[in-house]
Amino acid sequence: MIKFLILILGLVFAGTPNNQKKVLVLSDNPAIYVSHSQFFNLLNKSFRVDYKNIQSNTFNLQLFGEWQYDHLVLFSTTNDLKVSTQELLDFYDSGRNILLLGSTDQSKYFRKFLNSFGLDMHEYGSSVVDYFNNIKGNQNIVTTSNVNILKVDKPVAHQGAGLAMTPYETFQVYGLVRGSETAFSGPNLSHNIIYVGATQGRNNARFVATGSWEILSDEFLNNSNLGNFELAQEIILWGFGQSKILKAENLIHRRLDSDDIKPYNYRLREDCYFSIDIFEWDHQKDKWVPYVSTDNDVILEFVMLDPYYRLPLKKGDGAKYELQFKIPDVYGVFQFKINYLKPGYTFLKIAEKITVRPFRHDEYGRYLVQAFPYYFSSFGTMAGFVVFLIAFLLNK
Amino acid sequence: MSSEEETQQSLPYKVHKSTLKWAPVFNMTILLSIAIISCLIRVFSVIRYESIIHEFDPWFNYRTTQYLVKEGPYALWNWYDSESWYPLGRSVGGTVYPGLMMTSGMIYWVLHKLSIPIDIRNVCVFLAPIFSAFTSLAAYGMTKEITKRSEAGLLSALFVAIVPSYMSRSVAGSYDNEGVSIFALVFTFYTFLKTVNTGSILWGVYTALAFFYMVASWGGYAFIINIIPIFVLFLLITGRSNSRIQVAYNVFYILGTLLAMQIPFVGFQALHSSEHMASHAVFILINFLNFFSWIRNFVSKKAIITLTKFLIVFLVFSILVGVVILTLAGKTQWSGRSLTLLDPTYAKKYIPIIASVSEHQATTWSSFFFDLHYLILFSPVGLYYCYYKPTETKIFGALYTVLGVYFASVMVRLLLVLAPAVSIMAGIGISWAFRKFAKSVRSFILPKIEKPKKYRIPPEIAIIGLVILGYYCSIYVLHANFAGSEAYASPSIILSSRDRQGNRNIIDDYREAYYWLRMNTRPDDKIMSWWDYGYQITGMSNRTVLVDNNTWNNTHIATVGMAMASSEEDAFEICEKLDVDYVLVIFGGILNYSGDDINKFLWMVRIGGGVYPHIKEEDYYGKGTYRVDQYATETMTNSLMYRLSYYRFDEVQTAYGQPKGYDTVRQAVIGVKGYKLRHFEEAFTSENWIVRIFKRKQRENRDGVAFTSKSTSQFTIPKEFSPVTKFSKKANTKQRSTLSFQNNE
Repeated sequence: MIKFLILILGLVFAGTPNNQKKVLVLSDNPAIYVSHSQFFNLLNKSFRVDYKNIQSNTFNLQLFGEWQYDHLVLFSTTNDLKVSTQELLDFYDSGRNILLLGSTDQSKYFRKFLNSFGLDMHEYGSSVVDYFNNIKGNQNIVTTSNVNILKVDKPVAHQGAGLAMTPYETFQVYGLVRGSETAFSGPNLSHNIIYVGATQGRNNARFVATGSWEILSDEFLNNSNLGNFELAQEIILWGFGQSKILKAENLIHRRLDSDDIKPYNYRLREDCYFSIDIFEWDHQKDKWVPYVSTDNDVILEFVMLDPYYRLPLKKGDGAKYELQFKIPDVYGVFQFKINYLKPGYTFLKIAEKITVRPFRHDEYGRYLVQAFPYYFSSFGTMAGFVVFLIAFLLNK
Repeated sequence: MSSEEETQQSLPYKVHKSTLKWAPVFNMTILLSIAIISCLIRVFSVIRYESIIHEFDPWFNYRTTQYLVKEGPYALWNWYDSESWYPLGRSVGGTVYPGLMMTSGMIYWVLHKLSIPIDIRNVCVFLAPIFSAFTSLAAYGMTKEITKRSEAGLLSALFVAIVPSYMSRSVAGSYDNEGVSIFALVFTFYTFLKTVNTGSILWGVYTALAFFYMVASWGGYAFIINIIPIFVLFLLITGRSNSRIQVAYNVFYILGTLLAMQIPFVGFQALHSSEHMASHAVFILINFLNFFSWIRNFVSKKAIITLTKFLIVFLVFSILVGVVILTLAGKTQWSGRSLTLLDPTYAKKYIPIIASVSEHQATTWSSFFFDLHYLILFSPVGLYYCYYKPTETKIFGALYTVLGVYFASVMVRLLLVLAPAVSIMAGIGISWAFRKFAKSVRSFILPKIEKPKKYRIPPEIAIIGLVILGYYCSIYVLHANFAGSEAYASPSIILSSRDRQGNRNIIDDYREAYYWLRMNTRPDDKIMSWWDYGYQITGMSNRTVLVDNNTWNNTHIATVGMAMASSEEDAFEICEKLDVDYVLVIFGGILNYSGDDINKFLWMVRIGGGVYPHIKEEDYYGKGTYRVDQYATETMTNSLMYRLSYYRFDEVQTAYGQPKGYDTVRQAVIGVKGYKLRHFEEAFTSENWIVRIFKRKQRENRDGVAFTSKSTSQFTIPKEFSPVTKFSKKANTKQRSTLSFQNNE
């Protein structure tokens, strides 16, 4: 009976909006509820949001080994969290997402935390200065149009500290919003400044960090000349795992002239057909739609120790990516490998192992034209031997 | 009644007469008993342990036989084994001598046709003892062909049946090629000598067939294809050649070579490999000389002399030039193992993988004596007898012995080829001595029967001699019995020890670990271990391995050696590239088991360094010697092998009165304690720690991303991102490749 009740309860809870993803917002400054109201409105639309003081003991990230939240928004402060950075990192490494809104005077705690994601913040107190791209001549409110991965058309305004990372997107660390050429920061006049940086873990968990709170504040979001509102939308979509999510399924490989899917092994030099369906999550339609790569960059590798082939897959019907090719003239345990590490997208790492075997003893060609001299000579020798025997035996 | 008739009626004469009458029966009975003894002395291992396949190579043969019995001979021929040598795979059908498997397959099928439901494992386990019985019969025949005396044959058969060297490879469970091919070797020689004695083409055909069986079962057939041409050449040079030799050699050569080509593993090597060159040359030579002597009938004497000179020069020159050209053009080459035979230091200099195998080492005196015992004292007598009154067959026997001694002193395992030769020679020698003594005694007891002779050994000395020889022979039998029951009975995958009360303790760590792998890992997991254990893992655990005892690809073995010799970080990269899921190491530090991986580690370093020069042997020597204690070098203590072997070893006390972490094999306290593994985790450690299995962890979520430097001028570039993922050339630097901003812009 009790079990039945629990089952009912479970069903009831499963059906309620509790099912929504939970976001925890941590801050020690109540002013943000006013200054960032637009941003919180956006958050509230699609998530169940909990607001907690950063220093309070009233929240648990983890309870009885279960993570209590799906996403985390951190407004960095001069104070440290009660939670260790390691626990935050564990939160992230378990596949959950973190958004960090930094500030120029944030504590060492947050700097170390940033470092764990391949990002760094400029020196204490320094903020980005740009004499050419700014708003109303205020060199501290800088603008840039250099937005990667996210879809923002208008220039984005920023005020506060800058971040640093490699000057190019690596496959895991991205500069979502990069400063313009003329921006600089700090006593060392650093260039290549990042306004919004991001890191995607190997488990596809996403981390987004900004140099200051202001970039998502109402002041910039309400300004219709700026793209900050779009940016906030995109950061929530991308950072909390709703856009640029890919999945691959229905991997098929077979001999070109056979319907036998995923055969036990192939023979070398056989024609092989490979196809895979790749879908992208459409958060508006709330379903998976075929993924269309414009760059023809879905590459199939045929690997044994080293790649023997590295071929772009052709787009077929629907979500299908397909290719036909000839198995190389080498036997071994090969792998069909797709390592789709497109910046911003979830990583697709697919490996399917197959065996390529050598010819069977009865699969080699016979009665080849070029071998006729040998056939002729051997049969000639046999005939000659018989003639010789007869002559030898009769000629006493 | 005359006095002569009286003496005929006396007891000794009666005994003598009836003995002569019953001699053939005695002969056969003794031979049969020898055959039975040779079987029985080899089953001690089954009695002491259990009916199990021994050692390393037999496990592959066993697995292949299972496949053969299940799938049939054609499937074996085309078997492409993707479970070994991952990811290269091994085409088994073309790289195996199928004679052994086919033999046990045949036995299995015949018995099953006769409704005897025997398990294939038991066929495999008991195959070698059964064939050793055949070997003793063949040795009897061969000795009889050499000496025409059955008593020499009987002694030889007895010696062969229990010679420890042969026993070491043919105890029950030692399911290896040598088990059947020593029979094939002796039988081929027997049929060849029969051909030489009779000049019969039919026996020549039998020789070729026996040779075919030898080729099908062991690479040691090269010994036959070289010794017979050498024998023929010897006869040609000494002018003893005759038409019987020509028949024997031509039939053997033509049919033998044709048949050898039918084995896929040999194929056209029978024509162009250097091992066969001698047989081709002698074939040309013997027929050329035949042709020449035929021409001689038609040409004048003067012309013959010039013709002879010209032809000899031409022949020698053309053969030399031919061989040189073929060698230079790479059409014919010596295999590494053959070169090692010609130049014993060759492998040590150039091929560490051959030198690393213990059975390829040069033979020590102690193993000569242990494996052959008094036979090495007896056989020179037989050798002397063969040179004393040489016939063709005696010359053959002597040549076989002399060449065998040379090969046996180069490599331990070739003692096996020498063992029949020495046994036969000892049989001949002992029987000769017995005969001399017996004649003397007989002439004393039965003066009328023995013809008077000028010199004869005094009967007193003869009796003493008989007693001494009999004593030595019985000592030999006792020694062989000891070798069969103790020394060579151990299956080596099961160890045993005795405690103070003398009870046997069975140490079954290997099978425990292999069974763990079988039950607890996914079927397509890849296990990395040193190649010694490859066959056992595929055989017992049914899991994929990277390298195994079929050491056909030196580079792949070197890669595994490099992984073991590299630091944990670098080893992780290699393991990831090779899809390794588990790493298996053998560790004897607790049980004082000296055949463990730390002791083999230098060979891994050498073999790895042979292909990847950044691995240097001297980096692993602390204070000039190979050591694991506090003076071990950083390279050594950072190596994956060290880290895995000694992981958490400092928490156990192994010996009384020694601190924790005392390695009983190296007799030292380990140098690094309390370390953690980053990329591997302990998955299994057997009861006595002999087998330790570690699982490779997945790459960390943010590996290569995080950094701690405040300065952003140094970033670590993730390995996956760097355009060329090659093995890092730095073996032992913790520091990853670091690139500054400026360099990349």
